[in-house]
Amino acid sequence: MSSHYKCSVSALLRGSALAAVSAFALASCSGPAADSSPAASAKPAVEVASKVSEPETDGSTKRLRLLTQDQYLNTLAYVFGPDVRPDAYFPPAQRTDGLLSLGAAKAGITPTRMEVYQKAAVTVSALIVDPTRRNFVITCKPADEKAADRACASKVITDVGRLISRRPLTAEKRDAFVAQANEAATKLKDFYAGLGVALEAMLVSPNVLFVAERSEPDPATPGQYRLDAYSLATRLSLFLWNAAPDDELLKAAQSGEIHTAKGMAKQVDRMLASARLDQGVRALFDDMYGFDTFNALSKDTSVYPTFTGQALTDAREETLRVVVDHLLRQNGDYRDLFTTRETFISPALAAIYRLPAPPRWTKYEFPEGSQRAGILTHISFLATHSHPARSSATLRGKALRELLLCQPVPPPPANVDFSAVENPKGNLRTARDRVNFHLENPVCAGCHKITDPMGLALENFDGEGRFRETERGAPIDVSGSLDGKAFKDVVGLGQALHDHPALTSCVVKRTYAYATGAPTSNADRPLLAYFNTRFGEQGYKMPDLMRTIALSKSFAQISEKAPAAPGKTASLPSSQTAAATSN
Amino acid sequence: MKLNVSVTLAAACAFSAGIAFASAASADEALQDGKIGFAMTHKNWAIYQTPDGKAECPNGLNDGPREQFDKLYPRDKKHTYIGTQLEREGEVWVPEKTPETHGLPFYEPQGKIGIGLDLDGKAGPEDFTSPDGKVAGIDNQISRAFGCVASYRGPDGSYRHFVQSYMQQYKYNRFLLEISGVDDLANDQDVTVTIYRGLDALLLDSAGNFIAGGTQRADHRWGKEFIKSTKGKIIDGVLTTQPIDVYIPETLARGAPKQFVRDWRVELRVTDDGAEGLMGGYLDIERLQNNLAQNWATHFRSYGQESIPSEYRSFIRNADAYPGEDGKNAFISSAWQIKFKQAFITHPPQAVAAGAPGNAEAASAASRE
Repeated sequence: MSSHYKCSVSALLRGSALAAVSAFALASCSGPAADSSPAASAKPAVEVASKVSEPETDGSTKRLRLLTQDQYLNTLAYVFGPDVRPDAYFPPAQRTDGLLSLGAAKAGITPTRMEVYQKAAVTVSALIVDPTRRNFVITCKPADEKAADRACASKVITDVGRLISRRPLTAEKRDAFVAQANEAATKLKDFYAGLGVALEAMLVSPNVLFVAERSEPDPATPGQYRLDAYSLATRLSLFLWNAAPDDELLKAAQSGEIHTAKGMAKQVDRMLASARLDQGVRALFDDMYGFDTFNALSKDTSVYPTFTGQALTDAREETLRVVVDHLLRQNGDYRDLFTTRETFISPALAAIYRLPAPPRWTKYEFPEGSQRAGILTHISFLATHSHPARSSATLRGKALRELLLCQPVPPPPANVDFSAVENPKGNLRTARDRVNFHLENPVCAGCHKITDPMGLALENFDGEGRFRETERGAPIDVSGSLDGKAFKDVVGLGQALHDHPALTSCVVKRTYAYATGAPTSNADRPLLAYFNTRFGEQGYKMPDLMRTIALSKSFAQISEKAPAAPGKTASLPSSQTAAATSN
Repeated sequence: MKLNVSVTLAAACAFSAGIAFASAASADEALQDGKIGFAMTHKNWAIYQTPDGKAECPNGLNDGPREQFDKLYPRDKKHTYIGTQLEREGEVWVPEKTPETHGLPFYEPQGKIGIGLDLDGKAGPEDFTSPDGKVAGIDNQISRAFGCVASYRGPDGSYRHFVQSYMQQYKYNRFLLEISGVDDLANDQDVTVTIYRGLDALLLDSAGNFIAGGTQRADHRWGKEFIKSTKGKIIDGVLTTQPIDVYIPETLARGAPKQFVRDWRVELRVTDDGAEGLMGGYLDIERLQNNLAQNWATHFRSYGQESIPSEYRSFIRNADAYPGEDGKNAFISSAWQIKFKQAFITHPPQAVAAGAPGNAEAASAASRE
């Protein structure tokens, strides 16, 4: 395990002898440290002079959303150590405006879902108080292990509660959890068992599971609201790290530093330089590229015998590795993701790529002249947008439009007749023959014209992503066009996509929506145009875009009108009322 | 060839530096840098069979250990332990070079039709002709010993079953064949064929079928004696090689898992998915008997009605090459029907630096140093 890992709890405890021991021990046991790592990520942001300035907006939307599975698990790993990772499978959110994360604002908690959280909490609390690890994560010793200890329980609950709830517990909440711990410890005659009961309760509390953003009047702009400091810290951390804020960010919230331009920039730059940025960027692109599809993907193994379960897992990982390597390690141009020949190969993927298998994940560069260039030619994209037993130019073209260019494609009519194109004995040998058949029907032609020309360029790859030159004995024609730009093969498609203006505006739109947790609207167009211009000025570098968004006024400001009357707020409470009711 | 060496050297440097791998390899093709590898998936003795077996085995199939034991030592008579089990066990381990002393019959296949390769370029009186009549002079005298033994007959002879089963279960028997210097997999007058023992399991689909595209590490450490190169040519998709003495990894010889074959060669139809055809050469009958008798338990041989003392005498009778000190032939012509699936064969950096793949002898020499 990397030595860049350590627990945030230990960071809380600097100054005590025990903390020093804990911090030392934890350095080899827990998640990536929030402080910067030489191996990590984005290069320090360099200010690029801009010809544009951020337009005035009402700010972003204040949201109540459910913590996602990965946000929950990442937070646990960073707070308690990477081995504290329960087998928790939270129900998926509903994809909204191209992002799963936006669906997290539409989710509720059913009794069944609560059971999943409960099981995870039981596992985690048991791991925390386990005799073999309690000394690493519980930072005080009870006077008597067989009895309640109010002081020690209070310290642990205060420390842990602040990190997993993303703000300090109120005295009332803290005392309730401590009382719970003491009562259980007394009944069970075991301090740690009692503490485990309280920790379990904390882990399923609404303050942990829900991200309830709170607003307050912005003193710098009368009439304007902004996120309160802890909400801003949480939004920032979920955006950049896909996890709860660490100790330092919470301190910046507590001191108010985060609400100053300099203080916010300091935190954003620190977080962009952290190894935890990897997880944040992986989560963003896993969501944006619709990789949740992998969770339910299956292939007909009689047709694709090499598409094993491991290949499925590795296909997702390959593209995410390329994303992190290209965008963060190399600080590369986002558009080059669609032309780069650099990738990573695993033993399971090698059989499909028809390459000698490396002993483990290994960096690889497809040679010049190969038809593999860019993530469109990765097994991930090719296999997820295909049928179980054959490729699909239409599904691939649709995915390209919707996921990469943010151009929605309508669903097919309910009464569409597929019999002619799916007849195995028919004379339609190649995918081009089949989609041309669609074009003869005016009802179908409208949509197929915008999906198929790109999808056909990927027909050199079958339904699992294996290269082929013929289909049913007929040579495959992979020429096509993308919005007027003609190409002769998939390499040309990658270049056309690289040069397409919607490619960058789409990633900007998705990233801003992901960052703020809300779909964009027409009112956001000037703001998105500004972000897109800055993105271009900065060489389409993803860390720069994330920095620009995080430091924008819109990220911190909230489009909220002053409440009509106290106590009658229709939406989420402001921080003053929330503090009284929520904690 | 110079290009190949420099490319592989570059690959070795990259590998050892922990950077990229296979920078010389281009994806999506089985034939890369003029090389294509294959891993053996099936190997059976080449035995000519008619549907009911009556043409080649008119007397039926041979008795095995249990049947012979019953005939030798009838149950209605009293016997001693030494005079029965130990006596017969001794004959299994040290069979005589004389005819069967007990008068037990052993039936060898009849007729002139057989499967195999013409190893000596001559059409002798004992040689076979192929079932289609196109190839004469086929040298496969071992089929006279095995042809009417249930264990070796298809489709479900006991020996055949275990060879295939072990092909999937184990790795010590992994037989790799690499063709290098290939310009055209359909026609190339000058290619190099190198064989290795591999270190990895065969690639299977979810139904347990062997599939192409796996990767095999060639064993340059403990498998040096298996590494041999010869020249060959591909004509209309059929690879033939020049004879060479080799050791091949052997499935059912776990005590000494190898078989020495003189004048070994192949005749294989090759594609970028696999290869299928014949392998032939001369086997040392003493070593063969040792492998069969000493490393294959009697209960297995009983399943397949295979009597080692009887078979050994058939080896002696039919041995047709390489006389020993006593002037009698010590080797017997043999043939196997074999199949391969395409596999990428990789080599450790030091072997690549020494010139492999494509220069196995250099690699072998390097690993001896």
